[in-house]
Order: sequence, then C-alpha cells, then structure tokens
Amino acid sequence: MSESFIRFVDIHKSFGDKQVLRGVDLDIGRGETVVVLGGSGSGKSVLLRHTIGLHRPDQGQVWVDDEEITELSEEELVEPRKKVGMLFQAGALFDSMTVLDNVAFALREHTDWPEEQVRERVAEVLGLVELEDVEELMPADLSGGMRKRVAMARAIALAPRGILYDEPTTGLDPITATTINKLIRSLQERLGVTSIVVTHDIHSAFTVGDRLAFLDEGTIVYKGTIEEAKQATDPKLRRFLRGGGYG
Amino acid sequence: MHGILTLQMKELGGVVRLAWATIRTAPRRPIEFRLWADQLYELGVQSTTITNVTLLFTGMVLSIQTAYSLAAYGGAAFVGDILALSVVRELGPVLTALMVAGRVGAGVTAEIGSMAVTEQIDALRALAADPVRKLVVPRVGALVLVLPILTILADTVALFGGLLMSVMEIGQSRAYYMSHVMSALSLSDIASGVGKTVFFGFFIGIIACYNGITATGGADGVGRATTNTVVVSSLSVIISDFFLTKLFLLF
Repeated sequence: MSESFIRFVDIHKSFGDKQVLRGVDLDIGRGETVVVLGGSGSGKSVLLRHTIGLHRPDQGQVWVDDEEITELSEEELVEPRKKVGMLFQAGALFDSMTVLDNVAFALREHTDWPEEQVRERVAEVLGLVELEDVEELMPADLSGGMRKRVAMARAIALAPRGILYDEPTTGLDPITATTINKLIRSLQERLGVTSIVVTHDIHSAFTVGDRLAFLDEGTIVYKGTIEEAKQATDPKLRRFLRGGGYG
Repeated sequence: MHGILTLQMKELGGVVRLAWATIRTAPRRPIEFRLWADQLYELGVQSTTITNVTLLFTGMVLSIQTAYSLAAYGGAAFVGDILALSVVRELGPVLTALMVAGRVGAGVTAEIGSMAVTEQIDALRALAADPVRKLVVPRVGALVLVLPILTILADTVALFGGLLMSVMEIGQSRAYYMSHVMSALSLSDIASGVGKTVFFGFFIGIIACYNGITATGGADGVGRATTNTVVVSSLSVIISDFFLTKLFLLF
C-alpha cells in the first residue's frame, strides 16, 4: 500500500482548443487535506473532477487507493466512486427529492439496509453537519449554507475514505463560510478522511488545509505546507495571497 | 458548412450511443418500479387530455370535410370508411405522437437539462449511480409503453367525433356510420397504426433525454435544448412515419 491515497500523474486536459491542464503532478497522502488554490479558470475544478472519473485526462494517469482509474468504464468506476464522496459547488442536491431521499440516495443504491437503518444513518450524518429535523424539507426550502451542509451529509453517507470539496465556501456569507470551514475540519478529525479542497478563498485554504498546491494556467507552480506557503517567495503565489489580503 | 456537418454527425453519434445504452440497460435488475410509475403517470396519464382533444376535433373536421368534398360524387356515404382508415392508419398515430413530442419531449428535456446545468447529473455519477438507468430508461420506457395506449384512446375519440358529425351534420344513422367503420378496418390497419407509435415513443424519448443530458450554459442552454427537442423529435416522427409505413406495408 503506497502512502498516497490519490495521485495525479502528468494530467493534461483540453476542451476544444482550450488547454486547461498542462501536466499536473500531485500526490495526496492518506488522511491529509490538500488545498488546491487558484484563480477562476485555472483548471482546479477540472482537476478535482478527474479524481472520480467525471472527466478523463487526454494524457496522464489518475490513481485512487493504489488503483489506476484513468481508463475505467462507468461500471468499473462504481467501486472507486463509493470510496470518494464529492461536494459540488452549488450542492447539486436532487431538487425533486426531499433531504431524506437525497442523503439516503447512495445508501439505498449501494446497500441492502432496511429502511429503518437507512433513516438512522441519515439522521447520524445530518447530525455530523449540525442539522436536525430537516429530513422532510425540499432543497428549495433550504438556505445556501444548509444546502451545502445537506450536500456534505450526502457525500459522507456511505462513509467514504476521501472527500472532494469544489469551492465549498463560494457564494456564502462570512459566518456561514466559517461554519463550513469548521465542519470540513471536524469531519477530517472525526472521520480521518483524505480530502482535496479546491478553492480561491485564501482564508478557507489556510483554515482547512494541511498542504497547499497553487494551480496557475494549468500547472502546479507551488506545493508546500500551509506554514511554508505563508512564507513562500514564488511571485505568482505571493501576488495571489496579497490580492486576498495575506502578505 | 463542414463544421456544422461534423457537429451534426457527432450529435447523431451521441444519440445512437444513448439509444444503445438505454436498450442494454433497460432489462437490468433491479427494475426501478417507483421511477417507472412516476413517469407512466407524468408522461402518459397527464397527456390523455391533450391527445384526446386534438383527435376529437380532427375526427369531427375530417368527417365534415370528407362529406363536403365528396358530396358531388356521392361519396358522403363513405365517410365512415375514409375516416376509419385515415385516422387509424395515419392521423391517430402521427398527431398523438406530435402532441406528445411537444408536451412530453419539451418537459423531459427541460427537466433533465436543468439537472445537467446544476451538476445534478454529475452528482448522480459521483454517487456511483447510472444516469441512464435512473433518468433515461424510465422516461423512454414509459413513452414506448404509453404512446400506443394513448393512440388507441385517441383513435377511438376521433372516430367518436366523426360519428357525432355524421349523425348531426350529414344525417347518417349511428348504425350506418359504425357499420362502415367496422367493415373498413382490418386488424392489420390497427397493428400498423399502433405499431408505429412504439418507434415514435422511443425516438421522442431518446432525443429528449439526449438534449437534456447534453444541455450546457444555464437557463439559456436549457431553453435552446428544449426547442431543439420539439423540432427534432417532431421531424423524426414525420420522417420515420414514411419509412415505417413502407415497412409495415411489406407484411
């Protein structure tokens, strides 16, 4: 068993004429949280989506838990996808379903649990994201922050060993954003999961990350721990951090 | 021009791939009974009013027009025969399919398209579920099942509309009209008319789902995809009708 839970090797990806990723190498160790920081259009969400085969690289390899998933079919991706949950930018809750049905979705799909056990697990994961008695509400009835938390609960329902966060604090007010950051931290501590957090929110990056990778124009121009990043001299990262009021 | 052609070939390839994936996935267990039931109600039961009203008035107007235009040749007596054949073989299946393409096709594309642009389809895949099994199979399956039933209902309503006009406007007796209808129709007429709608249902469903899944660019993109579905699925009904009719005439 290697030390990396997720590994990107020389990932290239283009959409039409636009080259988004130009050779990304990144290792995410078991149990650690790596923040991928970068401006809008830097390709960080595209990189994240490669982790569970939502995008396929034009060149390069993606490894999850010592298994190469680059060429796997949608059917073969079922197992890797059960190991890694994903929180989408706007939550991506199924808006025709209640909170209960959203959170229970993967449990009903991939386990033979009786309904009672499913409901218990739903209440448990909703508790982990500090929500209760919301099972019967529809996504349209929830605030932006609540929707993100329900989406987090849905992502962790199957007890995945990795969680991917796509811009978890974007579009939230500062107080709700802080709550979400704390939740990400507490999920790491309580569940011991490996996480990748893609964000352009520097405060969030410094709060939740163990290590930081800075993506610029499709390549990683800086990698280091959060403390190292704060002192880094790389001009592009410095300019980004200064723009966010750091350094 | 070359670019447009390449794009259309690519789209055709995508539609064929989705059709194949749907056929392959449909028999797989477990069958999603709840999703099927929802779609049978939403796409089938909810469409009965629009298809029946369309065919009621078509039957009535066809009856009057036939009697009027054939009166000089003494053809008014054959209103029942002409109506029965034209409705059961052609107008019933095609008009029902066109109304369903407009109502259901647009609805399906709008629903799946909104899911696509809000990343809900990616969320399905991320949760290791198959969007074809969850979204496409129940909708296409429901359409294939309900379109023949809607057509039989609509045919009956159209012939009833014809009966009303034959009695009230043309002065025929109910028994006379009915005897002409029954003698004109053979089992093969009904089989050919209803048989075509299985294919219409499949085409409408696949085109609507494909346009929904591939919708991009927010509300604007969903709007374009919806318009595209109505245009392409209506055309596919009209064009395939010609070839299916030729095919059924061989038997």
